Amino acid sequence: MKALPPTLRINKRYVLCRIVPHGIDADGKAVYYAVYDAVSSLFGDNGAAEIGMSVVHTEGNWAIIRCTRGTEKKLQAAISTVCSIGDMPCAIRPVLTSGTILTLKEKIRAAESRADGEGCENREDCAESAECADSDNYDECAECAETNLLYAKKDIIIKDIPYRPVRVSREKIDLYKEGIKSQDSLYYTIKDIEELQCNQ
Amino acid sequence: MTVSDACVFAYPLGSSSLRRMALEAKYLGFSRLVCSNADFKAAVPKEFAGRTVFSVYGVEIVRGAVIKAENFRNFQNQVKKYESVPIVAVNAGENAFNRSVLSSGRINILKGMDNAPKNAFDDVCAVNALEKSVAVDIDLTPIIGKRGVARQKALAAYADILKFHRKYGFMLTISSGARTYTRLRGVREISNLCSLFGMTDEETVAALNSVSALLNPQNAVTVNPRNFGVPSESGSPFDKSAACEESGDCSECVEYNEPDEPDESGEYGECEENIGNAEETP
Repeated sequence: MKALPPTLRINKRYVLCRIVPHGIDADGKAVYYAVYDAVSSLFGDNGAAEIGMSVVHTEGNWAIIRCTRGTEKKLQAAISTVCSIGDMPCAIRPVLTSGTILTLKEKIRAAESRADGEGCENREDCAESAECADSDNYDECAECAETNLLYAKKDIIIKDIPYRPVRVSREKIDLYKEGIKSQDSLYYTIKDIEELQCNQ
Repeated sequence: MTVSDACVFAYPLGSSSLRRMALEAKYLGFSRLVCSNADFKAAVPKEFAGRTVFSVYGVEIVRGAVIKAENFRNFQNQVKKYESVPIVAVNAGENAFNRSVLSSGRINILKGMDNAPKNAFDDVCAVNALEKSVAVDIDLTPIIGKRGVARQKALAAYADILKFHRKYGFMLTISSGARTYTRLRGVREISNLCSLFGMTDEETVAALNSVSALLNPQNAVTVNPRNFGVPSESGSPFDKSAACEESGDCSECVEYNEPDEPDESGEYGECEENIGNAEETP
């Protein structure tokens, strides 16, 4: 079929989304099925056809989802109702809407470079020690490196159950219990862990 | 403006600690969370033990409680335990129960309207909620977490509540009911979700802000009769005096009257005293 001239083509919008919790490397297909299920259950087949969503790009915890212009709010509402991708419980948070994919990719790059440079998503919140606050890179800070190692090596026992810690940022820490039947996860901060260990 | 989530459940009821919830809430644009854990002591960090309102990472945490009662007597027994709790919510039940709970004046939020029977909330409940400054909660859990008939029922129930809210003007609150930080939603996401049942952006923002009004209720306006002269025959202190009626240019009335039609020079009439003052000022 011959392609439509540019003036007759349907305009599109692209929504940048962040997938939480950290560490879920969902592929485009899994994200597509999760979002399409949410859209069709919320707006029905007619609404889904009107929105015409598709996942155009995924990168780590980021995904770019395309929709017809004027249906961004509907798509965002449907995205907010996503509770799991495959078997993994998670959430997809719409961050930014744009007319081009390039803008959103730049946004991803900027966010990732900021995260790499600072080593922390919440620098303002967690810059406690003077050493950390002064250094440009948290990874260089001896104190942080020490605690990173501490939490990376040691299992944390909560109610007699060992949890594997995964450091998300300087302040956030996720704990995973991997059993035969199910996987359980707890979301803590470093202060909580310290408090917990003091009590034990 | 303080954007608040009216109900969250932290660890041990949920899987995220209160600090982690606060961190995420701050990222999402919230400045207050109402933590409704039954065992609040277990959820609170040690440094804030014994406090009902405190701040974590710049997010205010307020203690809340949710009462599940089968009948009004049961409610009365339970509510005594939560007298010191700033935000007390009760799960809605049948119409009679809701009316008595709302008129009791001992609760702040009526929640669980999505599970309530069809005619559980009527105009009498709406008037009671307005008079007693009780907010009706819109819980996003059924919209986010449920599918099919359950979600349809919830959306229909919230649309009905919204109609009553527009007619009677009682307060609404919005809560995520999150047990893990991934279930928290941002302000714009909440606005999009609430638009599904017809709520406008302004109404959503007002509902997110209404926990402040619950925490700091405005006292009823009282009129001190000594500040006014002898009331007129109609009994209203705002009626014009006889002298004023005759002359029509009483200076007190001119001050409070709205400006008249512009005169020939195109300017509105002004008080003579004010004109004199205006000339004197450089």
